[in-house]
Amino acid sequence: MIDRVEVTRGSGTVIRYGGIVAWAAPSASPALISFLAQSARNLGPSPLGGHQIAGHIGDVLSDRDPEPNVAFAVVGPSEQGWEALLHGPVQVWDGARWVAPNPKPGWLQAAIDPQPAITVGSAGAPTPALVPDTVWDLEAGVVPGAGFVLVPTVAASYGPSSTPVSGAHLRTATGPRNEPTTVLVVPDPTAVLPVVGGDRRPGPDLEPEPDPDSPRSRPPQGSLNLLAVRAEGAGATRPALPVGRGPDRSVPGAPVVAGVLCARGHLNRPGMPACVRCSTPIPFEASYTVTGTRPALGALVADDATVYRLDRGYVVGSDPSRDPAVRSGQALPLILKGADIATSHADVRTHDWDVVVTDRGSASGTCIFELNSPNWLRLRPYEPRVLRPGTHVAFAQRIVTFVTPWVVPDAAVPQGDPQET
Amino acid sequence: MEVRLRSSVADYEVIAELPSVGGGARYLCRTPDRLELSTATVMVTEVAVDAAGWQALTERLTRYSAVSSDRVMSLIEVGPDLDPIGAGVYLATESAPGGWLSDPVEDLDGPSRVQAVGQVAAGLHALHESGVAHGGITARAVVLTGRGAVLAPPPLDLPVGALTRVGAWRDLVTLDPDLLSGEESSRSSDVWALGATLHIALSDRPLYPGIEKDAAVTAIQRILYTRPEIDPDISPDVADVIRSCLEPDPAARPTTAEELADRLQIPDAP
Repeated sequence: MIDRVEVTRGSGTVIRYGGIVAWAAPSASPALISFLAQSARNLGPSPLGGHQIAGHIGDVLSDRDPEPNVAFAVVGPSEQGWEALLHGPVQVWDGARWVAPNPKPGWLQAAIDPQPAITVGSAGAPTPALVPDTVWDLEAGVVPGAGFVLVPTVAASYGPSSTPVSGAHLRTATGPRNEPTTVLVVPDPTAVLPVVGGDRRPGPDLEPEPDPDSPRSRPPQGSLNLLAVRAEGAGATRPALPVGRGPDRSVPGAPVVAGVLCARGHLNRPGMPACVRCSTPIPFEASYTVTGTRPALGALVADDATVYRLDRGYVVGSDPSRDPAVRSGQALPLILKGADIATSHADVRTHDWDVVVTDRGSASGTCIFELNSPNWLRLRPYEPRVLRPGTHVAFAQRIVTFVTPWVVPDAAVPQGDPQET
Repeated sequence: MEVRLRSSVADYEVIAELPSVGGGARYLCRTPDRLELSTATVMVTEVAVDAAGWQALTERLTRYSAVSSDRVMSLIEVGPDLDPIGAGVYLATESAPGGWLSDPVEDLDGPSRVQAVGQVAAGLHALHESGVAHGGITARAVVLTGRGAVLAPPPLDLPVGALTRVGAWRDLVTLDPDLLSGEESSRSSDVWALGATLHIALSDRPLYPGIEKDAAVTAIQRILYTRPEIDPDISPDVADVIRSCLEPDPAARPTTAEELADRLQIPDAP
């Protein structure tokens, strides 16, 4: 648990959601800051959020590093205590030693042992003084700052009580030569950080072991005799399907959003001229805003004729099942096999009544083709893009089409600024 | 997908390789002694299944197996396929001596095709009455057995979160456009699929003329923004039934698959 987060005054951006605190240098792009903030917001409530966000960002960086010279860091709780992902010219002071990525620029996923606090800032900054009774305490949000001091309530709040070796690296960045990558652990904060080569391979004793008790890592069980099932009539406990199209399509657990009701009580997106559910006209002058559980926002139709219902978000990629958002249940995996598709290539998230796609810095990129558009447009990495109805999205060579009945006439849809290809 | 010649699947002895379906390979097999059956069709799908996926798959098949209808395909066993070359899942079912409506062993005349779809409609109704929507009906799901046509289960390799998969673009016309808008599979979407399947069984002409040449991106637009066109060579009685299944308003379609089965009791059709 965090006792407080002291924001260091100066240039840069400090982000905190739940147990995750991040810092980005002034040179960070708005897209990068948005990516860090959204990731922290998603994983901040998790008791293992530090491990999850570090793994998540590490996966992204393994595919492509769109801003290699920008310093940023994320810190949060892990099973062993605290874990950080450090990128570029950034440094962490744990009270006894410095930890920084090496080579520089590069990145590092490391365990941190606060003694008693964790200080994050740009490389070369002097050791900050810890002020126990400071008024600076960021509880949540995104604020300006040159760094932060994270003060835990206890050294290791989650998981086992074993104390990690500060800086023990779990995964490291690539380098130009096949030399071992090391964590820089120096007692002198004024020491010059040397540049050495790196190795894509993680150290043999440093890769986290898969959890054998995890239900997802168990192999399929033995065969199931379905003839016996039929003979016993097991599973025949469901009520018959409703006649016709079925009941209202509100999704259990879906977010509550603002909308308008049709005369028959179905929740619709504001601005809809008629009910999507029953086609009853919704006169503008008769509509009033209410809140209710959001229905599905449409579907994604992949080019292998698989239909994915958009009642929640997806992580698109060749193997997104290990993505933190998927493992934490916040998104489902949308697996697309094919050349050049990254492990976690892009996010497709639902937000209010919108569906938003964000490329994760994939090497082959994510492109969109909107109705009546003359060309495919390549999205900038980490820049969210609201999908218009009927938009085709190309993840490398695979195409997914966004289909939705929620078409608001002349809707003013905020858009990013994609690069045309 | 690479289809390999195998001598066995689990402890089922392969007798012959059958035409593959969208999701994997199929074999005619001799069943092991532990089962009181002689032959079975064994479908192998190379799909990675973790514990959660396995649970979802077995729940789906358990619900399917529990449906009491002789128009629903008998499922024998599902299990992990431990083939060292490519692990996956196998599903053993009753054998299909007549093949599939998409690929019959012997050529079927028009009335036999209508009859087969009508029989499967009865099985579909039983499925719905048991609270299960199919979501993947195509001509590949109409299995021709010794006791007539039966309804096969949906594809095994349906990804987590996926609503449906028809397996091939040619079969995309069996998708109710409502599904493409986020609706869940239901009685009415299954009725649409069966109507479209009947059209496929009776005509070489695509329901959406031109879709056979479409790229994926335009096929979707064609389904969403145009209406299917029924082959005028299909007999009026049968064409009326198909047309009713393909009504854009679900309320205008046959209310139940049983109603559809009744309407397909057409002498000498098409």
